[in-house]
Amino acid sequence: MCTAIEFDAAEFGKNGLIRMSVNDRDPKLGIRTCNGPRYVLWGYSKNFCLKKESLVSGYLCHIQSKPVEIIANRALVNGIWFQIKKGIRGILILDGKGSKRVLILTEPSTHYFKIMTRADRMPVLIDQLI
Amino acid sequence: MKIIAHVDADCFYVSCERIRDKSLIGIPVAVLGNQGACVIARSYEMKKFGVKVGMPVWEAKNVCPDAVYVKRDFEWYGEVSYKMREIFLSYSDVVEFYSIDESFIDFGDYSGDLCKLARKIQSEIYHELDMPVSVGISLSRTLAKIGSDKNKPFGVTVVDKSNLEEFLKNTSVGEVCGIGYKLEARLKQMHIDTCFDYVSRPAKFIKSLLHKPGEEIWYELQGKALLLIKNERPQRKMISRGGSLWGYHKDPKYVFGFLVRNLERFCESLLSEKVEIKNFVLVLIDKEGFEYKFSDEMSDFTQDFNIILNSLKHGFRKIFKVGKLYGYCHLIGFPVRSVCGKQLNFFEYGDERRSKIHDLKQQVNSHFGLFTLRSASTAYASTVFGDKTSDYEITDIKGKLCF
Repeated sequence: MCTAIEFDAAEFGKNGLIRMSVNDRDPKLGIRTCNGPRYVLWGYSKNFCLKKESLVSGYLCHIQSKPVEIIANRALVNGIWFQIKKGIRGILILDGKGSKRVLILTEPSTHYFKIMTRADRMPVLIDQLI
Repeated sequence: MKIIAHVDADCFYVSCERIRDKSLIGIPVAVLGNQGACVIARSYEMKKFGVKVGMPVWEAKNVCPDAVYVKRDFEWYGEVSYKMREIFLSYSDVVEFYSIDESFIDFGDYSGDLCKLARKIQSEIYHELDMPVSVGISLSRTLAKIGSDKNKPFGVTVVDKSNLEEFLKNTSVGEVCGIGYKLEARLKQMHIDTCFDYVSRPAKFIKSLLHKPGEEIWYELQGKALLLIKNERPQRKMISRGGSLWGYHKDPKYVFGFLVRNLERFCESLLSEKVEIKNFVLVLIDKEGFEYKFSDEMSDFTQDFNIILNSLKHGFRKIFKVGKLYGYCHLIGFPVRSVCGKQLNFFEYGDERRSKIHDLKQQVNSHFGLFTLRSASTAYASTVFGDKTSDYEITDIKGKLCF
Protein backbone atom coordinates (compact mmCIF):
# COMPACT_ATOMS: atom_id res chain seq x y z
CA MET A 1 0.00 0.00 0.00
CA CYS A 2 1.11 3.53 -0.74
CA THR A 3 1.76 5.09 2.66
CA ALA A 4 3.25 8.49 1.85
CA ILE A 5 3.28 10.96 -1.00
CA GLU A 6 5.70 13.78 -1.67
CA PHE A 7 4.81 16.59 -4.03
CA ASP A 8 6.20 19.86 -5.25
CA ALA A 9 4.51 22.88 -3.64
CA ALA A 10 5.18 24.86 -6.84
CA GLU A 11 1.72 23.95 -8.16
CA PHE A 12 0.34 25.81 -5.12
CA GLY A 13 2.64 28.77 -5.72
CA LYS A 14 5.02 27.83 -2.88
CA ASN A 15 8.56 26.49 -2.67
CA GLY A 16 9.79 23.09 -1.56
CA LEU A 17 8.41 19.60 -1.32
CA ILE A 18 5.48 18.61 0.87
CA ARG A 19 5.38 15.14 2.38
CA MET A 20 2.09 13.58 3.49
CA SER A 21 1.89 10.26 5.28
CA VAL A 22 -1.04 8.07 6.24
CA ASN A 23 0.30 8.34 9.81
CA ASP A 24 -0.19 12.14 9.85
CA ARG A 25 -3.27 13.56 11.49
CA ASP A 26 -5.77 14.39 8.72
CA PRO A 27 -3.36 13.94 5.80
CA LYS A 28 -4.18 15.93 2.70
CA LEU A 29 -3.20 15.43 -0.91
CA GLY A 30 -3.08 17.95 -3.72
CA ILE A 31 -5.40 17.26 -6.64
CA ARG A 32 -5.72 18.99 -9.99
CA THR A 33 -9.15 20.47 -10.72
CA CYS A 34 -10.48 22.75 -13.45
CA ASN A 35 -10.19 25.60 -10.96
CA GLY A 36 -6.57 24.86 -10.17
CA PRO A 37 -4.94 22.67 -7.52
CA ARG A 38 -6.78 21.92 -4.29
CA TYR A 39 -5.98 20.14 -1.04
CA VAL A 40 -8.33 17.31 -0.16
CA LEU A 41 -8.36 14.98 2.85
CA TRP A 42 -6.65 11.68 2.05
CA GLY A 43 -8.45 8.49 2.97
CA TYR A 44 -11.86 7.41 4.13
CA SER A 45 -12.59 5.20 7.16
CA LYS A 46 -8.96 3.97 7.39
CA ASN A 47 -8.77 3.24 3.64
CA PHE A 48 -6.25 5.25 1.67
CA CYS A 49 -6.32 3.31 -1.57
CA LEU A 50 -9.00 1.74 -3.73
CA LYS A 51 -8.61 -1.14 -6.15
CA LYS A 52 -9.26 -0.10 -9.74
CA GLU A 53 -11.04 -3.43 -10.30
CA SER A 54 -13.57 -2.75 -7.54
CA LEU A 55 -14.30 0.63 -9.08
CA VAL A 56 -14.96 -1.03 -12.42
CA SER A 57 -17.23 -3.59 -10.77
CA GLY A 58 -19.44 -0.81 -9.39
CA TYR A 59 -18.20 -0.67 -5.79
CA LEU A 60 -18.84 3.07 -5.52
CA CYS A 61 -22.04 3.24 -7.56
CA HIS A 62 -24.09 4.19 -4.49
CA ILE A 63 -22.02 7.27 -3.60
CA GLN A 64 -21.01 10.35 -5.49
CA SER A 65 -17.50 9.98 -6.88
CA LYS A 66 -15.33 11.32 -9.67
CA PRO A 67 -11.86 10.54 -11.02
CA VAL A 68 -9.09 13.02 -10.22
CA GLU A 69 -5.37 13.47 -10.75
CA ILE A 70 -3.31 13.49 -7.58
CA ILE A 71 -0.25 15.71 -7.61
CA ALA A 72 2.78 13.59 -6.71
CA ASN A 73 6.52 13.59 -7.34
CA ARG A 74 7.32 10.56 -5.24
CA ALA A 75 5.46 7.85 -3.39
CA LEU A 76 6.40 5.41 -0.65
CA VAL A 77 5.50 1.74 -0.93
CA ASN A 78 6.96 -0.82 1.51
CA GLY A 79 9.75 1.57 2.48
CA ILE A 80 10.79 2.33 -1.11
CA TRP A 81 10.45 5.87 -2.39
CA PHE A 82 9.98 5.88 -6.14
CA GLN A 83 9.76 8.65 -8.68
CA ILE A 84 6.45 9.77 -10.17
CA LYS A 85 6.52 11.75 -13.38
CA LYS A 86 3.05 13.24 -13.87
CA GLY A 87 0.90 12.12 -10.98
CA ILE A 88 -1.38 9.38 -9.70
CA ARG A 89 -4.94 8.57 -10.60
CA GLY A 90 -7.34 8.94 -7.70
CA ILE A 91 -11.00 8.99 -6.89
CA LEU A 92 -12.78 11.84 -5.15
CA ILE A 93 -15.71 10.90 -2.93
CA LEU A 94 -18.04 12.65 -0.51
CA ASP A 95 -18.11 11.25 3.00
CA GLY A 96 -21.21 11.03 5.21
CA LYS A 97 -20.70 14.62 6.38
CA GLY A 98 -20.43 15.95 2.83
CA SER A 99 -16.69 16.67 2.90
CA LYS A 100 -14.47 15.66 -0.01
CA ARG A 101 -11.98 12.85 0.35
CA VAL A 102 -9.50 11.38 -2.07
CA LEU A 103 -8.38 7.77 -2.45
CA ILE A 104 -5.45 6.50 -4.50
CA LEU A 105 -6.42 4.04 -7.23
CA THR A 106 -4.33 0.88 -7.33
CA GLU A 107 -3.79 -1.93 -9.83
CA PRO A 108 -1.83 -5.21 -9.76
CA SER A 109 1.92 -4.55 -9.68
CA THR A 110 4.01 -5.00 -12.79
CA HIS A 111 6.86 -7.50 -12.53
CA TYR A 112 9.38 -4.65 -12.14
CA PHE A 113 7.41 -2.85 -9.45
CA LYS A 114 6.80 -6.10 -7.55
CA ILE A 115 10.52 -6.88 -7.41
CA MET A 116 11.39 -3.30 -6.51
CA THR A 117 8.90 -2.91 -3.66
CA ARG A 118 7.71 -6.48 -2.98
CA ALA A 119 4.17 -5.11 -3.13
CA ASP A 120 1.37 -6.89 -4.97
CA ARG A 121 -0.36 -3.64 -5.88
CA MET A 122 0.85 -0.33 -7.20
CA PRO A 123 -0.73 3.09 -7.66
CA VAL A 124 -2.20 3.80 -11.09
CA LEU A 125 0.35 6.21 -12.55
CA ILE A 126 -0.40 8.79 -15.21
CA ASP A 127 1.48 8.10 -18.48
CA GLN A 128 4.19 6.19 -16.66
CA LEU A 129 5.24 2.54 -16.52
CA ILE A 130 7.35 1.14 -13.74
CA MET B 1 53.32 16.18 -28.45
CA LYS B 2 50.09 14.15 -28.59
CA ILE B 3 47.30 15.26 -26.26
CA ILE B 4 44.47 12.94 -25.23
CA ALA B 5 41.51 13.79 -23.01
CA HIS B 6 39.31 11.36 -21.14
CA VAL B 7 35.87 12.66 -20.23
CA ASP B 8 33.92 10.69 -17.65
CA ALA B 9 30.41 11.69 -16.59
CA ASP B 10 29.84 11.79 -12.82
CA CYS B 11 27.27 9.19 -11.69
CA PHE B 12 25.94 9.24 -15.25
CA TYR B 13 22.59 7.44 -14.91
CA VAL B 14 21.65 9.54 -11.88
CA SER B 15 22.77 12.74 -13.61
CA CYS B 16 20.62 11.81 -16.64
CA GLU B 17 17.62 11.43 -14.35
CA ARG B 18 18.42 14.78 -12.73
CA ILE B 19 18.41 16.47 -16.13
CA ARG B 20 14.70 15.78 -16.48
CA ASP B 21 13.72 15.87 -12.82
CA LYS B 22 15.42 18.70 -10.94
CA SER B 23 13.83 17.64 -7.64
CA LEU B 24 16.33 14.75 -7.56
CA ILE B 25 19.27 17.15 -7.26
CA GLY B 26 21.00 17.09 -3.88
CA ILE B 27 19.19 14.05 -2.50
CA PRO B 28 20.19 10.37 -2.40
CA VAL B 29 19.09 8.75 -5.67
CA ALA B 30 19.62 5.23 -6.97
CA VAL B 31 18.90 3.86 -10.42
CA LEU B 32 17.69 0.26 -10.42
CA GLY B 33 18.59 -2.38 -13.00
CA ASN B 34 16.64 -4.42 -15.51
CA GLN B 35 14.64 -6.44 -12.99
CA GLY B 36 14.21 -3.67 -10.41
CA ALA B 37 16.18 -5.61 -7.80
CA CYS B 38 19.66 -4.09 -7.73
CA VAL B 39 21.22 -0.66 -7.61
CA ILE B 40 23.14 -0.07 -10.85
CA ALA B 41 24.03 3.56 -10.16
CA ARG B 42 23.82 5.83 -7.16
CA SER B 43 24.37 9.49 -6.43
CA TYR B 44 27.28 10.73 -4.33
CA GLU B 45 24.77 11.52 -1.56
CA MET B 46 23.83 7.85 -1.46
CA LYS B 47 27.41 6.64 -1.75
CA LYS B 48 28.08 8.32 1.62
CA PHE B 49 25.67 5.84 3.25
CA GLY B 50 27.74 2.96 1.94
CA VAL B 51 25.33 1.87 -0.79
CA LYS B 52 27.28 0.00 -3.47
CA VAL B 53 26.55 -0.84 -7.08
CA GLY B 54 24.93 -4.26 -7.18
CA MET B 55 23.38 -3.94 -3.73
CA PRO B 56 19.79 -5.27 -3.61
CA VAL B 57 17.14 -2.58 -3.19
CA TRP B 58 15.81 -4.14 0.04
CA GLU B 59 19.27 -3.82 1.62
CA ALA B 60 19.81 -0.30 0.29
CA LYS B 61 16.50 0.92 1.73
CA ASN B 62 17.62 -0.11 5.22
CA VAL B 63 20.92 1.74 4.86
CA CYS B 64 19.40 4.83 3.28
CA PRO B 65 15.65 5.00 3.96
CA ASP B 66 15.10 8.41 2.36
CA ALA B 67 16.61 7.53 -0.99
CA VAL B 68 14.55 7.78 -4.15
CA TYR B 69 14.67 4.78 -6.50
CA VAL B 70 14.35 5.32 -10.22
CA LYS B 71 13.71 2.74 -12.92
CA ARG B 72 16.46 2.59 -15.56
CA ASP B 73 15.74 4.19 -18.93
CA PHE B 74 18.59 3.26 -21.25
CA GLU B 75 16.96 4.95 -24.21
CA TRP B 76 17.16 8.31 -22.43
CA TYR B 77 20.71 7.64 -21.21
CA GLY B 78 21.69 6.79 -24.80
CA GLU B 79 20.18 10.05 -26.01
CA VAL B 80 22.17 12.08 -23.47
CA SER B 81 25.30 10.10 -24.31
CA TYR B 82 24.92 10.88 -28.05
CA LYS B 83 24.50 14.58 -27.26
CA MET B 84 27.73 14.47 -25.26
CA ARG B 85 29.45 12.80 -28.19
CA GLU B 86 28.27 15.54 -30.55
CA ILE B 87 29.97 18.10 -28.30
CA PHE B 88 33.20 16.05 -28.28
CA LEU B 89 33.11 15.85 -32.08
CA SER B 90 33.06 19.64 -32.23
CA TYR B 91 36.52 19.56 -30.60
CA SER B 92 38.13 16.77 -32.60
CA ASP B 93 37.35 14.27 -35.37
CA VAL B 94 39.02 11.49 -33.42
CA VAL B 95 36.70 10.52 -30.59
CA GLU B 96 36.39 7.08 -29.03
CA PHE B 97 32.92 6.34 -27.66
CA TYR B 98 34.44 4.11 -24.97
CA SER B 99 31.29 3.51 -22.96
CA ILE B 100 27.94 5.17 -22.41
CA ASP B 101 29.48 7.72 -20.05
CA GLU B 102 33.14 7.81 -21.05
CA SER B 103 34.90 9.07 -24.16
CA PHE B 104 38.46 9.65 -25.27
CA ILE B 105 39.26 12.68 -27.42
CA ASP B 106 42.47 12.86 -29.45
CA PHE B 107 43.60 16.48 -29.84
CA GLY B 108 46.65 15.58 -31.93
CA ASP B 109 49.60 17.93 -31.42
CA TYR B 110 47.85 20.51 -29.26
CA SER B 111 50.03 23.30 -27.92
CA GLY B 112 47.55 25.51 -26.02
CA ASP B 113 46.70 25.66 -22.31
CA LEU B 114 45.54 22.16 -21.34
CA CYS B 115 43.77 23.22 -18.17
CA LYS B 116 41.72 25.83 -20.04
CA LEU B 117 40.83 23.26 -22.69
CA ALA B 118 39.67 20.74 -20.08
CA ARG B 119 37.61 23.39 -18.23
CA LYS B 120 36.05 24.50 -21.53
CA ILE B 121 34.87 20.97 -22.37
CA GLN B 122 33.58 20.51 -18.83
CA SER B 123 31.64 23.77 -18.72
CA GLU B 124 30.21 23.33 -22.22
CA ILE B 125 28.78 19.92 -21.34
CA TYR B 126 27.45 21.28 -18.06
CA HIS B 127 25.78 24.31 -19.67
CA GLU B 128 24.43 22.47 -22.71
CA LEU B 129 23.22 19.32 -20.98
CA ASP B 130 23.33 19.92 -17.20
CA MET B 131 25.69 16.97 -17.04
CA PRO B 132 28.63 17.13 -14.60
CA VAL B 133 31.77 15.50 -15.99
CA SER B 134 35.34 14.97 -14.84
CA VAL B 135 38.13 15.48 -17.33
CA GLY B 136 41.60 14.04 -17.44
CA ILE B 137 43.95 15.43 -20.03
CA SER B 138 47.40 14.08 -20.69
CA LEU B 139 49.97 12.61 -23.05
CA SER B 140 48.42 9.12 -23.33
CA ARG B 141 45.02 7.52 -22.85
CA THR B 142 46.14 5.59 -19.76
CA LEU B 143 47.28 8.78 -18.03
CA ALA B 144 44.16 10.68 -19.14
CA LYS B 145 41.90 7.94 -17.74
CA ILE B 146 43.68 7.88 -14.38
CA GLY B 147 43.47 11.68 -14.34
CA SER B 148 39.71 11.86 -14.85
CA ASP B 149 39.18 9.46 -11.92
CA LYS B 150 41.44 11.47 -9.61
CA ASN B 151 39.30 14.52 -8.97
CA LYS B 152 35.75 13.23 -9.12
CA PRO B 153 33.17 14.70 -9.08
CA PHE B 154 33.41 17.65 -11.48
CA GLY B 155 37.19 17.68 -11.45
CA VAL B 156 39.90 18.43 -13.94
CA THR B 157 43.34 16.82 -13.93
CA VAL B 158 46.13 17.82 -16.26
CA VAL B 159 49.22 15.64 -16.50
CA ASP B 160 52.01 16.88 -18.71
CA LYS B 161 55.79 16.54 -18.66
CA SER B 162 56.13 19.12 -15.89
CA ASN B 163 54.12 17.14 -13.29
CA LEU B 164 54.34 13.60 -14.69
CA GLU B 165 56.85 12.26 -12.14
CA GLU B 166 54.98 13.68 -9.17
CA PHE B 167 51.68 12.33 -10.59
CA LEU B 168 53.14 8.83 -10.97
CA LYS B 169 54.50 8.90 -7.43
CA ASN B 170 51.05 9.82 -6.08
CA THR B 171 49.18 7.21 -8.08
CA SER B 172 48.76 3.63 -6.89
CA VAL B 173 49.16 0.89 -9.52
CA GLY B 174 45.63 -0.19 -8.69
CA GLU B 175 44.33 3.03 -10.26
CA VAL B 176 45.56 1.99 -13.70
CA CYS B 177 42.87 0.70 -16.05
CA GLY B 178 43.75 -2.95 -16.68
CA ILE B 179 45.28 -3.64 -13.27
CA GLY B 180 42.71 -5.34 -11.09
CA TYR B 181 42.74 -6.21 -7.39
CA LYS B 182 44.58 -9.50 -7.83
CA LEU B 183 47.25 -8.05 -10.08
CA GLU B 184 47.64 -5.06 -7.79
CA ALA B 185 48.25 -7.38 -4.84
CA ARG B 186 50.81 -9.33 -6.89
CA LEU B 187 52.65 -6.16 -7.88
CA LYS B 188 52.64 -4.90 -4.30
CA GLN B 189 54.31 -8.11 -3.18
CA MET B 190 57.14 -7.11 -5.51
CA HIS B 191 57.23 -3.63 -3.94
CA ILE B 192 55.57 -2.05 -6.97
CA ASP B 193 53.12 0.18 -5.12
CA THR B 194 52.93 3.29 -7.24
CA CYS B 195 52.97 3.96 -10.97
CA PHE B 196 56.42 5.45 -10.46
CA ASP B 197 57.64 2.11 -9.06
CA TYR B 198 56.07 0.45 -12.11
CA VAL B 199 57.87 2.57 -14.68
CA SER B 200 61.12 2.42 -12.70
CA ARG B 201 61.35 -1.30 -13.43
CA PRO B 202 62.87 -2.31 -16.78
CA ALA B 203 60.40 -2.83 -19.64
CA LYS B 204 61.69 -6.41 -20.08
CA PHE B 205 60.86 -7.24 -16.46
CA ILE B 206 57.31 -5.85 -16.82
CA LYS B 207 56.82 -7.72 -20.09
CA SER B 208 57.94 -11.00 -18.58
CA LEU B 209 55.52 -10.43 -15.72
CA LEU B 210 52.46 -8.96 -17.43
CA HIS B 211 53.11 -9.67 -21.11
CA LYS B 212 52.29 -7.20 -23.89
CA PRO B 213 49.42 -5.33 -22.18
CA GLY B 214 51.67 -4.69 -19.18
CA GLU B 215 54.44 -3.41 -21.43
CA GLU B 216 51.98 -1.09 -23.20
CA ILE B 217 50.95 0.36 -19.84
CA TRP B 218 54.66 0.84 -19.02
CA TYR B 219 55.08 3.08 -22.09
CA GLU B 220 51.73 4.80 -21.69
CA LEU B 221 52.51 5.77 -18.08
CA GLN B 222 55.61 7.54 -19.32
CA GLY B 223 53.51 9.65 -21.66
CA LYS B 224 54.31 7.65 -24.80
CA ALA B 225 50.93 7.15 -26.48
CA LEU B 226 50.84 3.58 -27.78
CA LEU B 227 47.15 2.80 -27.47
CA LEU B 228 45.26 4.45 -30.27
CA ILE B 229 41.93 6.23 -29.98
CA LYS B 230 39.50 4.09 -31.97
CA ASN B 231 36.91 6.04 -33.90
CA GLU B 232 34.78 3.04 -34.75
CA ARG B 233 33.73 0.00 -32.86
CA PRO B 234 35.40 -3.22 -34.05
CA GLN B 235 32.95 -5.88 -35.22
CA ARG B 236 31.39 -7.97 -32.47
CA LYS B 237 32.83 -11.40 -31.83
CA MET B 238 29.60 -12.79 -30.48
CA ILE B 239 25.94 -11.94 -29.95
CA SER B 240 24.06 -13.04 -26.88
CA ARG B 241 20.68 -12.65 -25.28
CA GLY B 242 19.09 -14.19 -22.22
CA GLY B 243 18.84 -13.60 -18.51
CA SER B 244 16.32 -14.45 -15.85
CA LEU B 245 13.34 -16.73 -16.53
CA TRP B 246 11.37 -14.64 -13.99
CA GLY B 247 11.66 -17.06 -11.13
CA TYR B 248 12.45 -20.79 -11.10
CA HIS B 249 10.45 -23.03 -13.38
CA LYS B 250 10.27 -26.73 -14.19
CA ASP B 251 7.46 -26.64 -16.75
CA PRO B 252 9.16 -27.45 -20.07
CA LYS B 253 6.57 -25.49 -22.04
CA TYR B 254 7.14 -22.35 -19.97
CA VAL B 255 10.94 -22.64 -20.18
CA PHE B 256 10.80 -23.30 -23.92
CA GLY B 257 8.42 -20.37 -24.41
CA PHE B 258 10.86 -18.12 -22.60
CA LEU B 259 13.75 -19.41 -24.72
CA VAL B 260 11.84 -18.63 -27.90
CA ARG B 261 11.15 -15.13 -26.59
CA ASN B 262 14.87 -14.68 -26.11
CA LEU B 263 15.51 -16.14 -29.56
CA GLU B 264 13.24 -13.45 -31.00
CA ARG B 265 15.34 -10.83 -29.20
CA PHE B 266 18.49 -12.60 -30.40
CA CYS B 267 17.41 -12.61 -34.07
CA GLU B 268 16.27 -9.00 -33.79
CA SER B 269 19.80 -8.04 -32.75
CA LEU B 270 21.28 -10.06 -35.65
CA LEU B 271 19.06 -8.14 -38.06
CA SER B 272 19.69 -4.71 -36.55
CA GLU B 273 23.46 -5.30 -36.45
CA LYS B 274 23.33 -6.79 -39.99
CA VAL B 275 25.29 -9.86 -38.96
CA GLU B 276 24.91 -13.64 -39.00
CA ILE B 277 26.29 -16.49 -36.92
CA LYS B 278 27.70 -19.97 -37.50
CA ASN B 279 27.62 -21.55 -34.03
CA PHE B 280 24.73 -21.45 -31.65
CA VAL B 281 25.03 -22.15 -27.93
CA LEU B 282 22.16 -22.65 -25.52
CA VAL B 283 22.77 -22.50 -21.76
CA LEU B 284 20.24 -23.28 -19.04
CA ILE B 285 21.11 -22.64 -15.39
CA ASP B 286 19.26 -24.42 -12.62
CA LYS B 287 18.44 -23.29 -9.08
CA GLU B 288 21.66 -24.81 -7.71
CA GLY B 289 23.69 -22.83 -10.23
CA PHE B 290 24.58 -25.77 -12.49
CA GLU B 291 24.94 -24.96 -16.17
CA TYR B 292 23.52 -27.20 -18.91
CA LYS B 293 25.07 -26.38 -22.23
CA PHE B 294 24.31 -27.29 -25.84
CA SER B 295 26.46 -26.24 -28.74
CA ASP B 296 25.57 -26.55 -32.42
CA GLU B 297 27.57 -25.73 -35.51
CA MET B 298 25.22 -24.91 -38.35
CA SER B 299 25.99 -25.83 -41.97
CA ASP B 300 26.37 -22.17 -42.97
CA PHE B 301 26.29 -18.69 -41.46
CA THR B 302 22.72 -17.57 -40.87
CA GLN B 303 20.44 -14.99 -39.29
CA ASP B 304 17.31 -16.97 -40.17
CA PHE B 305 14.97 -17.33 -37.18
CA ASN B 306 13.66 -20.74 -38.25
CA ILE B 307 17.08 -22.29 -38.74
CA ILE B 308 18.26 -21.11 -35.33
CA LEU B 309 14.91 -22.18 -33.85
CA ASN B 310 15.55 -25.74 -35.06
CA SER B 311 18.90 -25.67 -33.33
CA LEU B 312 17.29 -24.30 -30.16
CA LYS B 313 14.62 -27.06 -30.20
CA HIS B 314 17.26 -29.73 -30.65
CA GLY B 315 19.36 -28.28 -27.84
CA PHE B 316 16.40 -27.92 -25.51
CA ARG B 317 15.45 -31.58 -25.97
CA LYS B 318 19.01 -32.59 -25.17
CA ILE B 319 19.68 -30.51 -22.06
CA PHE B 320 16.29 -30.05 -20.40
CA LYS B 321 15.93 -32.40 -17.43
CA VAL B 322 12.42 -33.12 -16.16
CA GLY B 323 11.89 -32.06 -12.54
CA LYS B 324 14.78 -29.56 -12.43
CA LEU B 325 14.06 -25.93 -11.59
CA TYR B 326 15.60 -23.53 -14.09
CA GLY B 327 16.16 -19.84 -13.42
CA TYR B 328 18.39 -18.41 -16.14
CA CYS B 329 19.15 -18.93 -19.81
CA HIS B 330 21.70 -17.68 -22.32
CA LEU B 331 21.61 -17.80 -26.11
CA ILE B 332 25.00 -17.16 -27.69
CA GLY B 333 25.98 -16.93 -31.33
CA PHE B 334 29.54 -16.91 -32.67
CA PRO B 335 31.58 -16.23 -34.77
CA VAL B 336 29.79 -13.18 -36.09
CA ARG B 337 30.00 -12.20 -39.77
CA SER B 338 28.60 -9.18 -41.54
CA VAL B 339 25.88 -9.84 -44.11
CA CYS B 340 27.04 -6.88 -46.21
CA GLY B 341 28.89 -8.07 -49.32
CA LYS B 342 28.01 -11.67 -48.53
CA GLN B 343 28.76 -14.26 -51.20
CA LEU B 344 25.64 -15.96 -52.60
CA ASN B 345 25.07 -19.62 -51.82
CA PHE B 346 24.44 -22.25 -54.58
CA PHE B 347 22.56 -24.46 -52.19
CA GLU B 348 19.13 -23.99 -50.72
CA TYR B 349 19.29 -23.20 -47.06
CA GLY B 350 16.26 -22.67 -44.87
CA ASP B 351 12.62 -22.64 -45.81
CA GLU B 352 11.66 -19.81 -48.17
CA ARG B 353 8.00 -19.81 -47.14
CA ARG B 354 8.83 -19.63 -43.45
CA SER B 355 11.38 -16.92 -44.13
CA LYS B 356 8.71 -14.83 -45.85
CA ILE B 357 6.43 -15.19 -42.83
CA HIS B 358 9.29 -14.17 -40.59
CA ASP B 359 10.05 -11.14 -42.78
CA LEU B 360 6.42 -10.07 -42.49
CA LYS B 361 6.63 -10.48 -38.72
CA GLN B 362 9.69 -8.25 -38.67
CA GLN B 363 7.91 -5.58 -40.71
CA VAL B 364 4.89 -5.56 -38.41
CA ASN B 365 7.04 -5.54 -35.28
CA SER B 366 9.25 -2.74 -36.53
CA HIS B 367 6.11 -0.60 -36.70
CA PHE B 368 4.20 -1.75 -33.65
CA GLY B 369 6.81 -3.08 -31.22
CA LEU B 370 9.06 -6.10 -30.88
CA PHE B 371 6.55 -8.63 -29.52
CA THR B 372 3.39 -7.54 -31.39
CA LEU B 373 3.58 -10.63 -33.63
CA ARG B 374 5.42 -13.45 -31.98
CA SER B 375 6.05 -17.14 -32.30
CA ALA B 376 3.17 -19.31 -30.99
CA SER B 377 5.63 -21.20 -28.75
CA THR B 378 6.01 -18.07 -26.63
CA ALA B 379 2.34 -18.36 -25.59
CA TYR B 380 3.41 -20.69 -22.76
CA ALA B 381 5.46 -17.86 -21.24
CA SER B 382 2.33 -15.76 -20.94
CA THR B 383 3.37 -14.21 -17.60
CA VAL B 384 6.04 -12.12 -19.23
CA PHE B 385 3.87 -11.00 -22.14
CA GLY B 386 0.99 -10.15 -19.80
CA ASP B 387 3.23 -7.63 -18.04
CA LYS B 388 3.02 -4.27 -19.74
CA THR B 389 6.55 -3.27 -18.72
CA SER B 390 8.16 -6.02 -20.75
CA ASP B 391 6.67 -5.54 -24.19
CA TYR B 392 9.76 -3.84 -25.54
CA GLU B 393 13.44 -4.66 -25.86
CA ILE B 394 15.88 -3.22 -23.35
CA THR B 395 17.97 -1.04 -25.58
CA ASP B 396 21.70 -1.23 -25.82
CA ILE B 397 23.72 1.82 -26.77
CA LYS B 398 24.94 1.25 -30.28
CA GLY B 399 28.45 2.20 -31.29
CA LYS B 400 30.09 2.20 -27.89
CA LEU B 401 33.22 0.09 -27.43
CA CYS B 402 32.42 -1.42 -24.07
CA PHE B 403 29.66 -1.03 -21.52
